[in-house]
Amino acid sequence: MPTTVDSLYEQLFPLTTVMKQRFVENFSGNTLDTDRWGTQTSTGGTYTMKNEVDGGFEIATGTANNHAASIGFAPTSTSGNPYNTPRQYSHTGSVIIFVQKWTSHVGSTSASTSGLHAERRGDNAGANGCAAMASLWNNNFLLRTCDGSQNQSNTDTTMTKDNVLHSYKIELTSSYAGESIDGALQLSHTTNLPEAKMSPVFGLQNHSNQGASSFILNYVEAYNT
Amino acid sequence: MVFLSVYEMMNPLTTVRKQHFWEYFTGKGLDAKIWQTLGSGSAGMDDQSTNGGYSLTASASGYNKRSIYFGNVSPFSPTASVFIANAKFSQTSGLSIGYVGLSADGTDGSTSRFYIGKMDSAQSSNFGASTANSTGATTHTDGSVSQDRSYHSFKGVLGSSSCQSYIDGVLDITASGSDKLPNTGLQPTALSMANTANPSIKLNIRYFEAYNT
Repeated sequence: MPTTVDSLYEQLFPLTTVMKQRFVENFSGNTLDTDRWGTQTSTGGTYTMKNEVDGGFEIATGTANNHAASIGFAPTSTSGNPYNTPRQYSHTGSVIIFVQKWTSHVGSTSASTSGLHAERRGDNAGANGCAAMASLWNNNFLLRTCDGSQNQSNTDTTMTKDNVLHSYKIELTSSYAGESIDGALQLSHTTNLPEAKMSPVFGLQNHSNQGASSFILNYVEAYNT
Repeated sequence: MVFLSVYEMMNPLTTVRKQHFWEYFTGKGLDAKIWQTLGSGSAGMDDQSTNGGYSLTASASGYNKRSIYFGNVSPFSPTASVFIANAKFSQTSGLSIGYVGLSADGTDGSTSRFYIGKMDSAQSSNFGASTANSTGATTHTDGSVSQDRSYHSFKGVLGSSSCQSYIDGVLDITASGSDKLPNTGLQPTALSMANTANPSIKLNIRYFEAYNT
């Protein structure tokens, strides 16, 4: 056990350092904290606190092509890509850590969004985003960034898509976006980096060939550096 | 700086974190997105004293119960999990009961559970542990710490062959016997239970943490 300190704050910083924006979500309890998270209520999405050991919280799409589901800081609405306000996390200095597991066949998923984005959307498109992704078009998990003009680019990780819980860490700086899975650095991505503030988004867009798409989350932490 | 993130306070990033939850019981009211209340009696954030946390008091008759739980969402393992609660109880005698721990349904019914707390006096004048499996087979195990009205830290460690109870950091009770240990998914629970012959018991809780191991 590391050195004991007096406060939770001091586990992270000395009091001489002013902590920046940070939040932690444990996805434990009866229902999603809708005072914090808003959901996309159109196209058959479901949002469920799972009644099983290590079940966390599941996001699932409807079964049709392009059905999408997502959670973010934007208020609950039917809209597929509202501005994800409040956007309090920096595009040039922030980290998001999360634990996620795919509970559907990833082959049913056209795209997904797990990270920071200026819009709450499941398809990982639009302007100003940096998020992990799985897609039927790629064998491995990957990272996608979107710049302010909606130009996007991807970098594959070395990890093949699976249905296992993994820890993910995405770090954004002014010059690159890095992604680690289970503590191992996978990539450093430098093109089409986001150009504006963002906030956490988790979502997915379905492809109709294998039923609905879904994943669970049991932890999210984001902070500015 | 000791840790870069809250995640890394408890696990390195090379370890995939399992379900982990904590609650400080501080604020305007209980977070109804997390907790559900059950039974009859009173419950609320306690304004009676500093460190009051949240209090539960079952109605003072019959075997009334008042509890908080996740509303039957049970993400914690019956055989590989830990809970930690800071709680106190208003009674040190009589047949009323106050428990903190993990349960399948938020009660003392015929379901899986592992509670630590104030036993009724027919069982023990000390703090004790109560475990049960999904068929309702139950065991109550005495500890060595006398019941009092002070806050204590109660830690329960659920394993495949035993449930261990720590009181204020000291291992005090080990319940074993697989036929009476929890065997289904569990949720955090705090429970006040009245008795026909005794005044009701007030349970104050100001911290609850649970995690799978």
